[in-house]
Amino acid sequence: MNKEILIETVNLSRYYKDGKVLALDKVNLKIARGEFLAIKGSSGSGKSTLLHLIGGLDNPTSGEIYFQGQISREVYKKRGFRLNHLGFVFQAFYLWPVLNVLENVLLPLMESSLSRQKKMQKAEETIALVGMSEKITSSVSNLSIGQRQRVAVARALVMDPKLILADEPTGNLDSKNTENILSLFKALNKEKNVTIAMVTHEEKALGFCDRCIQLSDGRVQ
Amino acid sequence: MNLAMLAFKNLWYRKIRTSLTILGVGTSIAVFVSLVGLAGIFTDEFRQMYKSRQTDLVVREKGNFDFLSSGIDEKYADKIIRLPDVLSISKILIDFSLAGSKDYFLVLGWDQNSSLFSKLKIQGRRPESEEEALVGLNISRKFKKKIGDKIEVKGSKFTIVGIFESKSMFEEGSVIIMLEKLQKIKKVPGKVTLFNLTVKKGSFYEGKPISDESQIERVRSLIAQMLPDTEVKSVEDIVSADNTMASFLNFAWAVSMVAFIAAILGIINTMVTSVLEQTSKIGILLAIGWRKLRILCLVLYEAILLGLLGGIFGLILGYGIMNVLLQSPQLQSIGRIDYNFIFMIKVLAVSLLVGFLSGIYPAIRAILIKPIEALRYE
Repeated sequence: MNKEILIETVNLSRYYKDGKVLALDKVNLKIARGEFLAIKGSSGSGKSTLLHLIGGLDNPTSGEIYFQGQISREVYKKRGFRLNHLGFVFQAFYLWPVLNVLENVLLPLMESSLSRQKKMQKAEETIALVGMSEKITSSVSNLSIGQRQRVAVARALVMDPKLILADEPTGNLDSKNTENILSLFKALNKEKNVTIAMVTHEEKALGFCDRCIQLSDGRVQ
Repeated sequence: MNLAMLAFKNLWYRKIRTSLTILGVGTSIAVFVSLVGLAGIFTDEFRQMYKSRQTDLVVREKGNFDFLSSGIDEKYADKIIRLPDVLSISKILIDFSLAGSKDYFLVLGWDQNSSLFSKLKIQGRRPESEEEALVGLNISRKFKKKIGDKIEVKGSKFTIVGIFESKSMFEEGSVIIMLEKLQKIKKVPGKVTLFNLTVKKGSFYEGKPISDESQIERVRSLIAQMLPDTEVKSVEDIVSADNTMASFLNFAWAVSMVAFIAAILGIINTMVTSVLEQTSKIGILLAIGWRKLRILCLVLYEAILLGLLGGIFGLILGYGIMNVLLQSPQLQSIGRIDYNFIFMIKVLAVSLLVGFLSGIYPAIRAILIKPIEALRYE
């Protein structure tokens, strides 16, 4: 059975420093809806660049990205598109230290037109999903590293995105927390059918993913 | 959670920097409040003095804005009082006298039978000879003088025969002596500084009732035609055109402008630093799909909050400074602090404006941040 293609890259290239540094070289990649994809590679192989391009955080030098068959640079410009379709998780979490768990998860919802009550309900449900209900009013500054990443995952999930782009989400975590986060991703992928593209160095991540691609010198091996 | 709350929490997170910025903005606002407030008190007291005398018009020398050196012929009063709609006219000669080496007080020369005496609450009596003086309550308190004591005015000794209270603190800081005596002391025989005029109200013109304002204006133009070397002004005109007050007000505004610029630069500095520090946090907001307008509003809210908090602090500090200044011997007779609600609202509005203007540049910097560069920032 052919699965619906959520993301497709066609001859995707990215040069930096006025064309002197090649980060991605004509990458052709398809990510199916509901797939849990691992992107591996050594430092400087272009895996984060690929993720940023797919997420619309950066623009390709050449080539094209399609989101559900539509050219991404056009659909990403639509108001609220990225908010409703993409979720980001980063190695450094990028949580707002001044806010508590609930408030951090509410940040994407501030852009939505839902009622205050619905926003709260959605945030609380998502926090429960990542197992952080007991810490809902705790300041994120007082959380452990693993808990912070769970909050970051909740923030990425709260708008029910089709695709989660995770850039080395376990890079700062110890072995136990790495396993916990990977298990969480796997559960979300299976139970909510969320498509996940995850850049990782972790060998153990492969056991959780449906597929793994290896990048080397900007090319898919 | 809304944007204003997020902005507030952001400021709360950086307590020391926020406090220092509020202190800076507050000091600037306090300079404005105290200087412009003092100018306002000075003007209001001047206005109150005329109102308590029921003055409708003031006649003085044309073209001479320094009331200490200006003078008009006191005989003009006889011509003016003959105009049918003039109820009363009072001659006033004004001067200042030194008290000791630093202090000074206002000296007023009035006719013995001036109707102005009836507007004062006098303990004792009015002066009846050239060696007698009536002193204001503030002068009595300041120099610890009572009825029967002597007071020196411009080198001459006077016996205090009465102490008066007035609706104007400005007037209560004066000494009233006979007009002829002050003319001799100033060496301006037959001259007065100004006339105070009260116009008859409820008059008719050509058989029809006319408004008080029209009546006052009619008398004003009649005197101006009759005495071309004088100028006739309403109380509001004279208060706003007074050279000393205008200079003080201009000075107050000039200093306040410099203070405001310092406040704006202070907030800009704080907010630019804040935006730089939060580059990655702003980057993640952009990455998750926040509109640039919302980021712009967030930074502006922070700047406006800084301005508003600075304004509140500045109001408290400014009124405190005014209180201290008005307790000083030099200024205590100028007037009382008027906790004017409208003025406070205006100050807070100015503070908001200062915050808003300061926030524009940092806000623009924030929305120019590219998510990918922002996420690489840390």
